[in-house]
Amino acid sequence: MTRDTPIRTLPLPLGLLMLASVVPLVGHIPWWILLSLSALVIWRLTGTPLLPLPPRSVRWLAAILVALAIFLRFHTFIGERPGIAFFMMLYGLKLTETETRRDLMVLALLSYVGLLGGMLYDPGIGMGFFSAGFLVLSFTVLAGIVSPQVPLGARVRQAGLFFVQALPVAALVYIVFPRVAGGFWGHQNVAIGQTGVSRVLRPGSISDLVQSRKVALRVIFDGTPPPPAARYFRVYVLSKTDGRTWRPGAPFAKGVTTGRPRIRYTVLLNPSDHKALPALDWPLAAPAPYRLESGGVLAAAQPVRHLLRYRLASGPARMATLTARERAADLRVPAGIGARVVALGRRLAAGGGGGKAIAGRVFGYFLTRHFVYTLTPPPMGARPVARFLFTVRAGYCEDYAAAFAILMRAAGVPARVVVGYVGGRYNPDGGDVVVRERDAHAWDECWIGGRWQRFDPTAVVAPGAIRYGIGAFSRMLARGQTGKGPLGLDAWTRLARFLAGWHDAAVTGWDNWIVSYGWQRQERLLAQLGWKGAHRISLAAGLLGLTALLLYVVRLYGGRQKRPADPALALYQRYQARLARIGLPARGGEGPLAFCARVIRARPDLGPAVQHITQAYIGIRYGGEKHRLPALRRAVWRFLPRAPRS
Amino acid sequence: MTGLERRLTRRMVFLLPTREGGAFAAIVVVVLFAAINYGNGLAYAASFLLAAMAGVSMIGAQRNLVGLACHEVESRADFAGRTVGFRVMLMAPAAGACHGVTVQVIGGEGVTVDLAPGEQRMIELPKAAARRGLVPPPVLRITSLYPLGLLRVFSGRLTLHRPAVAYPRPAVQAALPAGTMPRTHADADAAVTGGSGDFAGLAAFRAGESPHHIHWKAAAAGRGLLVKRFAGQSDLEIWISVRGTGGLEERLSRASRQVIDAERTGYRYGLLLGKRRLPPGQGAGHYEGCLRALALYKGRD
Repeated sequence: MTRDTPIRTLPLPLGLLMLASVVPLVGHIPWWILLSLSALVIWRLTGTPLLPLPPRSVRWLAAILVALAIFLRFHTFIGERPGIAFFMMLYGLKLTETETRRDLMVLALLSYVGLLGGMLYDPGIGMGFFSAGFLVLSFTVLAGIVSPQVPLGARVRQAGLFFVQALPVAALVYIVFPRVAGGFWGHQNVAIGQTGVSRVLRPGSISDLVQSRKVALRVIFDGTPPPPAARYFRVYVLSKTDGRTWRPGAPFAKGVTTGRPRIRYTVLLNPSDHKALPALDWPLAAPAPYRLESGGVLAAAQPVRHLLRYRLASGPARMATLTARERAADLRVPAGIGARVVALGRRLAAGGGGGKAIAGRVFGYFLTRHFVYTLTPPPMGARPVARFLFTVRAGYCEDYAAAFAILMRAAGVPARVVVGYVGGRYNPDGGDVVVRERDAHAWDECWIGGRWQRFDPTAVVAPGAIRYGIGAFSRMLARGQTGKGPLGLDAWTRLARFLAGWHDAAVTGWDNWIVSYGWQRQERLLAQLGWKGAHRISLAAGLLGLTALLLYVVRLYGGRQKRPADPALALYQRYQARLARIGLPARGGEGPLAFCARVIRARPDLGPAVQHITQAYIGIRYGGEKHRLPALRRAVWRFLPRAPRS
Repeated sequence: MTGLERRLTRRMVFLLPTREGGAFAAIVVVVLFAAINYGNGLAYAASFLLAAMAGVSMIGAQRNLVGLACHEVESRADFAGRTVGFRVMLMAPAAGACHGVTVQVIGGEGVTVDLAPGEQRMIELPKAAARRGLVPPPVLRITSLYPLGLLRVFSGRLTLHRPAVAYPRPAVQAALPAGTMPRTHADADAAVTGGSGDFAGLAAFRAGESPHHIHWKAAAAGRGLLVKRFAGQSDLEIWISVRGTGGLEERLSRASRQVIDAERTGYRYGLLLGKRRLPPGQGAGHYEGCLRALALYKGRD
C-alpha cells in the first residue's frame, strides 16, 4: 500500500460500517458520544469539508477534552462503559486525520470494537443477525480499500461467499474451543436483567407484570409437555405475612418428592437479577451449583445475570414433616387483619371435615358472593384482605391467594402463598414452552394429609385464566370476552401467532446454542458425540490439529488453477501442460498454429496427434464447430507424450 | 539469450500477513479475550467467524496469482543518464482475472496492474542507467494484496535474463564528418533517397525512410504517404568513427551524437569501430544497431 494522494472523501461503505458500529451501542453509552461520532462520519462522507482538517495541536486538545468529558461523566476509565465510550470518541477523532489508505484500513478494523461492545450488551438473536451483516459489510469495505476498482456488487458477493465458507469452520471451532468457567478479571454484569416476580408479594405486585411480553423462561420438556393447567412453576414460597405483604419464611426441613409422573425438562432462564430459579412443582434434587431452599424452591448462589440453563426432574408431590414451630408459623394470622376476617375463617371451619372440605367452602364463599376477577383491582388500602373480602369483592390472583391463605389459617389449616408462573404457551415450532412475565401468578399451598397441596382460588373464580393462560385471559378480559366458548381468532392473529412461534423457536435455539453454551454444556455435547471426559488440553490440541488441517486444505485448494469455463480451452491447456512436462512449454503470445509448428519441429514423431488436436481446437474455438469437442477430448486424453531418452 | 518464462504455480506462491493483517489478528484476539472473560457466546462466534473468514480469503488470494504467466520481453534501451526499461509480459489465465498484481524489483519500486481473464499486459520497470553498457537485469517479485489487504501473496524470485543496453551519453555537439560518394551505381540510386539540400520533388514512401521527410500535409489531404526529395548532399554517405582526440568515453559520446544527428538529418551512415565496421545504412534498426555497438565497445579491437 503506497502513500498516495490524500483521501478527501470517506468511501461510502466505510462510512456505513462506522455508522453501523454505533447502532448496537445506542442506549448503552452516552448519546452525545454516538451523535458526535456519527456527525464526524457524515462530515467526512460529504467530501466537501466545511472546515479543513484540523492541525495536530487541535486534535490533541480534542483528545484531552474528550478524556475529561468521559471522566466527568463516569468518574473512572475502568470498566466496559467508560472504556467503550472513550474508545468511540477517539475513533471519531481518528476521522479528523484520515488521509491515507492505511488510515482507512485502521478505521475499518477498529469498527469491530463497537460491534464487540454491542455483543457484550446484548448477545441475543437480533444482535446475532446484525453481527453477521456487519461482518459481511466489513469484508466488503476491506476489499474496497485494497482494490477499489472491483465493483461494489462483486465485493459484496465475495464477502458473502467468505462468510458462507467460513460458517462451517467457525461452527466446528465454536463447538470444540475449550470454554473457561469464569473470566480473567472481575467484571460488572453487562447483561442486565429485568425484575420478574419478586420475593415480596403485595397487592399489585403481580398485576403490574400483566402487560409484560418479556420472556421469563423457556422450558423444553422431554416428551410431551403437561397441559397448561398443570404447569405451575414455583419461584418463591411465602409464609410470613403482616396482613399486607407476604415474605419467605424460615428454612424448613427437606422432604422427599414422590408420585408419578416424573417430568424431566430443561429450563432456559433469562437474566432476572434474582437468585430464584423457577421449577415445575417439586424438583427431585438441585443440580450441582444450585440448592433447594425453603419450601422446596430452587435458588442459585448468585443473582442470574446471564441466560442460565439447567435441567431438572420434578414430581407432583413432596412428603415431609411439619415441625411444631413451622406449623405455628404457617397458622399465624397477623394481628391487624381484622376480627371479621378471623370470624369468617372460623365460621367456614365450623362445618367440619378435613382441610379439603374447608378449602371447598372457601371457594364456595367466593363463588356464591360473586367475587370478580379483574386485572385492575381498586386500591386495597391498609387492610387489603378485609377490604377485598367484604367491600371490593374483586381482585387479581395475588388478592385471592392472600385472602385464601388467611382464611385457611383462621380455619386452622396451615397455609402459605406461592408465587411463580403458570401455563406459558407451547410453541410447536420450537417444541418448547415459552413463559412470559405476564404469566406470573400467585396461588396457595395447604398442609393436608402430611404434605403441601396446591389450591388455586383463581382457577375457581376465573377458570379461563388458567385454561387459556393468564396472559391470554387478561387480553380476553380487556376485550370484554368471557372464558366460555371457543376462542375466536381472526386470520391476522393466527398469522401473528404463527410468526411469533417461529420467532420464539429461533430465540430458544439461539439461547440454547449461543448464549448459554458454556463448559458444562460443551462437556455434555462432546460426551453425546462420543468424546467422553474431553480435557481442556486435549481439546486445545485437537483444535490446533484442526487449524493446521484447515490451513493445509486452504493452501491446496487455493493453489489449484482456475478452470476455464470453455471446455475446449480447458482441454487445450491440458494438452499444453503435457507438452510442458516433456520440455515444450507454450510461449507467451504464441498462437496455437505457431506452437504446433514448433512442437512438430522439435518432435516430428508427435506430428499427427499435435496437428489433429490443434485443428480440432481451432475449429471449435474460432470456427464454432462444437461437434468436434468429443473428438478433441478423446485426442487430448490419449495424448501422452514421453520425453525423448537421452 | 532466452528470457524468463514462468507460469506461477502453487509451489511458487507464498503467503504472509501484512501489517494490517497483524492488526486484524490482534482485534480477533481482543474479541476472543472479551468472549472468554464475559462468557459471551456471540463474541466467541464472532471471533471464530472473523478468523475463519480471513482464513478462507487465503483461497482467493492464492488463486489470484496462480496461473499468472510472466514472460520476459526485449528490454528498452536508452542513453546513459536516463532510464532503461526492463519489460515483462503478464498474462492472466483465461479462467480468471488477476486483481492488483504488483510487479516489483526486489527492494525497489513496483508497478500495479489489473488483468481481465486472458488479458496480456506489458509492464516496464524503469531503471536509471548511469553509465553506458549493459545494465544487469533485476530480480523481480510478483505480489498482490488482493482480496482484503490482510495477506500478501508473493511469488518466489523471478530472475530476468536479458540485460538492457545504455547507449553512450551523447555529446552536446559534434560536427558530422564529410561525406563520400557511394562506390557502386546501385548504391548511388539508393543514396538519392537522403539529403537535405534543395527540394527536388515528391516520391512514394518506402519502408525505412526517415519520417522527417514525409510530406505530412499531403498525407493529411489524403494523398497517401509521400516523401520529399532533396538535391545536394543526399547522394553522400558518411562514416562515423570513434577515432580522434580525447578519452574513449568522450569519443564515444561524440560518435553517439553524430549517429543521432546523421539519423535525424536522413544521411546514410556507417560506423567505424576500430577494426569493426558497420556498413552504411539508415532507419531505426540501423540506428539502434550503431548505438548498441557504441554502448558495448570495449576499445582497441
